[in-house]
Amino acid sequence: MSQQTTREIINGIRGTKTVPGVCMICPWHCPTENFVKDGRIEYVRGNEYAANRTTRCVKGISSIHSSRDKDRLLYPMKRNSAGVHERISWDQALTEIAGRLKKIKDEFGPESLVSLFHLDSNEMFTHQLFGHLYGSPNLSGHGAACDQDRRLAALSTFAHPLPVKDYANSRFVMLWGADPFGPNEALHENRELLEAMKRGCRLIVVDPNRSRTAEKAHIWLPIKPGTDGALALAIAHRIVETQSYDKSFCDEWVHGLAEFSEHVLSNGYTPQWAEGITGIAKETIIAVADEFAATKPALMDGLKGLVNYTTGLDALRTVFALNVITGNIDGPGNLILKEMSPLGFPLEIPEEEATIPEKPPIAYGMGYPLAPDLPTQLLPKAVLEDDPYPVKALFFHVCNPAMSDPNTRLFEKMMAAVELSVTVDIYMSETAQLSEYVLPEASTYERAEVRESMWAGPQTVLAQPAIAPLGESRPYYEIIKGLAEKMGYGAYFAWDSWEDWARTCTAYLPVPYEELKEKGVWEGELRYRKYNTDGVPTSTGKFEVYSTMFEEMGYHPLPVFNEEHRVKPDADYPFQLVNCKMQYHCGTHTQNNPYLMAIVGENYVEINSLDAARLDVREGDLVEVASPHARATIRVRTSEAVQPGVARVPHGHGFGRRFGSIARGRGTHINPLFETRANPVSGGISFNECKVKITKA
Amino acid sequence: MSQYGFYFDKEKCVGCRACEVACQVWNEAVQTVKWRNVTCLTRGTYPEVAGVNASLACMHCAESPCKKACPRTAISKNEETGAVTVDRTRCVGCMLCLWTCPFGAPQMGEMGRMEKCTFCEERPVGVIKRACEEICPQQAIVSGTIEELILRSKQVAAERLSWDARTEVVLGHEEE
Amino acid sequence: MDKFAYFWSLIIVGGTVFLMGAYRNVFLKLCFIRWINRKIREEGGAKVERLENTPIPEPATIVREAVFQKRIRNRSVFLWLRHCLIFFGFTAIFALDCIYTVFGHYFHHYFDYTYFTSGAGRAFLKAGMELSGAVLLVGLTAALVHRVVYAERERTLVNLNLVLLLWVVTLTGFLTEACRLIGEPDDPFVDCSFVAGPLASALRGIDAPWHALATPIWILHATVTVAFFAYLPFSRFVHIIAAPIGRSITQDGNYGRLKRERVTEGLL
Repeated sequence: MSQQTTREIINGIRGTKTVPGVCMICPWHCPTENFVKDGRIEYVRGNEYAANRTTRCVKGISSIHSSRDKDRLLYPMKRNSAGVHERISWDQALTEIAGRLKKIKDEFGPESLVSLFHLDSNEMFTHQLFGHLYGSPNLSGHGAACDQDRRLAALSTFAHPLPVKDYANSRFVMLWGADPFGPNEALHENRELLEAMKRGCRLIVVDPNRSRTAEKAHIWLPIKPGTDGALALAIAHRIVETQSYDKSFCDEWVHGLAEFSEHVLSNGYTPQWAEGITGIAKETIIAVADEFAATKPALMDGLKGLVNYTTGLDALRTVFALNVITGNIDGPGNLILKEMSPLGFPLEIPEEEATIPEKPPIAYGMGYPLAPDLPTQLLPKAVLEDDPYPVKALFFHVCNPAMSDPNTRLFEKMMAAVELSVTVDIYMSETAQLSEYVLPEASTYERAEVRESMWAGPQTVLAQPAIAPLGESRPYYEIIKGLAEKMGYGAYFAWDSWEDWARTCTAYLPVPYEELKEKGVWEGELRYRKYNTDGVPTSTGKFEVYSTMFEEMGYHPLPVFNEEHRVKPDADYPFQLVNCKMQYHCGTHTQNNPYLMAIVGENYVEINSLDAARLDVREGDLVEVASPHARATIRVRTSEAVQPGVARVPHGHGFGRRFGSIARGRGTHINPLFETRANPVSGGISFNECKVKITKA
Repeated sequence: MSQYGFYFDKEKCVGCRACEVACQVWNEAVQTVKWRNVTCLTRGTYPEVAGVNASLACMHCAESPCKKACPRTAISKNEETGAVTVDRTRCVGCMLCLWTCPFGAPQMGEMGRMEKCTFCEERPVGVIKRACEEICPQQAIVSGTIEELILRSKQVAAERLSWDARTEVVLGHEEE
Repeated sequence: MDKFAYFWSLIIVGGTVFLMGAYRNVFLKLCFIRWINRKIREEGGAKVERLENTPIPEPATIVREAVFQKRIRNRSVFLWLRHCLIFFGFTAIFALDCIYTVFGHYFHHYFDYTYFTSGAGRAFLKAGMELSGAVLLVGLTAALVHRVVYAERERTLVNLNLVLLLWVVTLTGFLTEACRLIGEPDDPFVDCSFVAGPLASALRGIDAPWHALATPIWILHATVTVAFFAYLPFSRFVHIIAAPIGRSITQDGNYGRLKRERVTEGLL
């Protein structure tokens, strides 16, 4: 009995078979286990061999519905002249799309194709078909609407795009505008943080609103929206002034400490100065700074609460600089510069046959040479005004910029004007409704995935199809294979089943393929302080608090506090609109889910009860939220957790104009209220730069 | 007979409701209404706000009040695990059990019969976790015999003190 | 022995059993519930508004749940219709029967009136009892047929015997009335017995000593009826007493939510 794994016990109870999978709801992609019986998913849970163990978040566990959802896309569709989507055959769809792509390449060059995707592992096929073979440089994730500023700040400081967190060994954690407990980001990280807190780790949260994470914090700093940069600089000022940084580490591994110190001291970024801007008492700032400098190991990290403002990039650069100057980097209990597992591409394309794009990525021409991801909010300009060069074809894979980008009306105009638009998704998303071709993808339960996961060390997930695809839907790799064959690249796609390319991808892993397939996950060794052996891949070979990359491109090499692009509430529009994520939803794929819709069926605007009393509205009332650009009607929730003067709205709702029997008509789409505002360096969309007024509807 | 029960850690729970849905998914065949419910409360005024989340299901009480209150003797205790179960063929849906229950656990099911947590009766106790416990991202829910759970809570408290490096901590008078 | 003397002894025995059952299965339970809720309230510490020891049921909930049976309506219209036929039929015939017994058989000895003995009141009661009896019989027959035919899904949830017992009670009631009508063909209210009347005509065609059978059938009907009432608190029909109390207090699960909030507040 004791020899049985818990997998086997569950299989014994339910007569099921375990198929390892991966959760595709949010970008953290937790390894999972699916329990299958007679072509039906009976139960799902986390992969017990992975860091998240058997746990799932609410969105993950309820995503079991997507394997059964009859409202999913079931066959390929094409928009007819009347603007209605009609069913077509796979052969017709792929032939037509391939023909049009070839024509566009001949006429306008390969860079006029822009492919946007979510962080799906099958994106390897996008990269190989549209990048290596077709030759477009414009392949991009959805980063501009997400963590663009954090990525660029991390790149400029550590030359690593996605530092992760080693909470387990930490003694001091400070989170800026990040709410990992709310939408349940990396499950193992959250669990480790709470366990570390049980052992005395301190948690400090900087957030205007009392988020789920702030709820658990020892110290919550209710900062004024968008002023995190000032607070971070003030903490840096205190540390520099008291010289409590790690001198020996800085000498060896930090570039530009002298300039940084000089910059912070001479510009007067004192706690006193920050008190007036942030609303945090200077004594508190000094106490937090001293505790941070004195406690090791410590870590500081920030996310969307910062990047949603135009000040976010510099705030994050300061936060990362603080990690670096105190020597809190890549060690146990610090930010970890995650090592990737040695995964290969699924297709073997000889170097001489691969196409090298002639033009640089379109972000260059748009004026964002440092942007890690394409600033998608500027795509309409490229399509409609051929600026900086014409974009003729848009290929969307499981992303829904029609909902996630600001200024929805402009996006709709672009979709009407573009020559070819293709959306691959599992639901008839808003973007799909605006696209010419809609191709149904198999859900995560019906397809294979080989991908890197978000654990701090190298971790590979091999997900396998558990059931047959619903309707005529196909896994993404089959769609790309079909398309490639029609485009004349069939020779590279000579595999018969997913196992062939999965073997190619995982050939360099130090684990036999069969074992990986059985467990579904492989975890390498978590190495600390890799810079000691591998160095730091910046141009100076050190962690840069004075960015040479920024200097080269003509930007300020040191972080400043510049409120020039901020949009602040005024007399006419007295509320700062703050975007947040709902704990129980994530994007399009949770909107038709009966489990989640039963918990919360629609989004709402959350305001402090003092504001509510002033506006004479009560919980559940309909209100009209109006920005200078547009208005939306939405239900109000009063909450003591929201800062007075702030209106907090969960975004990404209001789907279902035509999609889904459960989603239809629920929620309010808030993005039309946002003007297209972006960080001037990274191009990341600054959703929170929005002032609104609220009136009773 | 041993008495099994749930240990719930309010310091870990973030109110994500994964336990609710895990319970629904695992007990899909017999569950028509949520057996486990998360209650999230906030009290106070900004910025002095206090909040707490609690995931509650049937506590499988040793001296079950619901068992005593049932006019149809539909509620019984499992000899082996101490789990409180309801016999739906005897239940008439009068909900006197809900009136009695201190935790508000009994739920009115679709067929007009009371339903509640069965302690995942299919899952062997002591060998494998309950569905809610297995899924909980924070591992805020733990099941086990009452003796194990009491020992566990003592260990957690002891461990916290042994790790705390601050000098001002006096045993038994740890600052909040 | 006079049949009414038998009837009253039956009522006394049956009533005692009923009261014993009601005391044991309902009254004691309610006392226990009140005791435990008071204890939780006193020892629990935290208080949530509107969570009284004995909450006052909302009238709207009673109407919705007890009279209109909303929950069954949500499940299926057929089940709801059936339940309503039984519920309203049973309530009406029980009430009318009580009035008829009291005013038609006893009170006219002490008070001077003819309304319920030979007047329009008697016709009204007769017709009402016939109608509600018919409604009850239709509902019960539907329930019996449904349970025999479609029992698959609900097999574990029903008790056929109990429905059968009430069905026998109703049927013997009509038989008794029919036998009485055979014996008294000149009854001035024969037109009111629109079910038992035709039944009597039909029975006349069958060669049997109906006149002699009238009393045994009447006794059978009375015995079965009293047995039914005596059995009530020990059977599923205890819900007739317990469900209106429990359901109206717990109000659609809202009460459970308040209880959970109170526990949560205690953790704050």
